[in-house]
Amino acid sequence: MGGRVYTTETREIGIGRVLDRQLRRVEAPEELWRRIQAGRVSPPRPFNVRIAWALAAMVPLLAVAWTLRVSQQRLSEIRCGDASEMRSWIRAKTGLDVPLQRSASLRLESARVLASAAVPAVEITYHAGDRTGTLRVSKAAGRRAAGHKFVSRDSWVMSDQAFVIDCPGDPRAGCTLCHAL
Amino acid sequence: MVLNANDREVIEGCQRGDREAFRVLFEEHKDRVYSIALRYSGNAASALDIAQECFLKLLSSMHSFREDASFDSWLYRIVVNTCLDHQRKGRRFLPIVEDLFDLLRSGSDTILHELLLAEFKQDVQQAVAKLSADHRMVVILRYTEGLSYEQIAEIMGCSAGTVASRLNRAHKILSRRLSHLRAGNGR
Repeated sequence: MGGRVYTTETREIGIGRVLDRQLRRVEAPEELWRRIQAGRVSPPRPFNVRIAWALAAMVPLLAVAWTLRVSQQRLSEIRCGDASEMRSWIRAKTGLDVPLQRSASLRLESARVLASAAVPAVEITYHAGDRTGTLRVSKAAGRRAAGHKFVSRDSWVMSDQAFVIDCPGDPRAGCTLCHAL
Repeated sequence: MVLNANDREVIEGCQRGDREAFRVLFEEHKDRVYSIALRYSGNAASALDIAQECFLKLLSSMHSFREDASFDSWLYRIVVNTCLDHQRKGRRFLPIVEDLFDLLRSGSDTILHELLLAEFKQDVQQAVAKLSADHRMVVILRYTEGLSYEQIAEIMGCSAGTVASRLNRAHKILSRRLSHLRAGNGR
C-alpha cells in the first residue's frame, strides 16, 4: 500500500509536483498571535526624525569640544622636573614669577594654569618622598609685600602674588621649592 | 506587488502605532510567514519562534518601510533573513513528528493509509531540510509561495540565473534523495 502511495506521487507527477503538494502553504496556529502579543513590550512609537537629526548633529560638536578641551588642557599644563624650565613656562603663561629652584628633597612633577580662577593662577605639583604636595600661586594686585607676609602658616603674600602651600610631612620642606635651606 | 489603498492605510496605521492595523496586517500575512518558517525549519515549534520574531521585527522596523517599495518583497526579506539567522544561531531544526502522533491518537479506520501519507510527507520534508540554506529557501519560495524566479532573486539578493541554477540543483538532489520512493514496492 505504501509503495502504491509513493509510486503514484512520484512517478506520475514528478518532483516539482511533489514539492508543490507537500510544501504548500499551511494555516498559522492561533497561538502565534498570543505569542506576538506577549512579546510586545510597548506599542511602537513613530520615529522622531528631528530628534535623531539633532542627536546626530551633536556628535561632531561634542567631538570637537572634547578635542579642543584636550588640546587646551595640554596647552595649559606642563609636566617636567626642571625648575628653571617650569619657572619660564609659568611666567610665559600667567605672568607670575615663582622663583623655583633645584631641590634635593623635593621633586617637581607638573604646573597647571588654573583657568577657573578670576586672576592668573597656577598650581604646581611636587613630590616629597612618596607624598604629593601642591603650591598654588595667584596674582594678588594691591597687596604688595617685599618679603613673605604670612596670612596663615601655609599661605603668604609676596611681590603682588599670593601663595598657598599644601605640604605633606614637614611644613618647612615646601620652602625648598624656592629656597636653599 | 503594488500596494493598494487598503494596504497603504493599514501600513500607515501600523507606522502610527495603531494596534488594530497591526492585527489586520498580521491576519493577512500570518499564514505566509508561518508556512515559510515551517517549511524551512521542518518543525512547528521552531516555526512559531521564527514567525513570532518576524512579526516583532516587522513591527519594530515599520517606520523604515517606504511606500514606494514592495511590501511583499520587504516582508519576504524579513522572513528569509530571520530563518537564516535562526540557523546561524545554531538552533536545531527537527523533522515533523507531530503529524504521526496526531494520527496515532485519532483512531481513524484509514489510519494505516494516513500514516503512510504522513510518512511520505515527512520524507519529503526531511529531504528538503537537508538541503543547504540557500537551496532550501529557493525551493520554499518557489513551491510554498509560488514566486517567480525574478521575485525570488529580488528577495534573496541574487540574479534570476542564480535562482534557476539553485532550483535546478535542488531538484536533482531531491530526486536522488527521494528515489527510493519510486521503487514501486515500498521500502
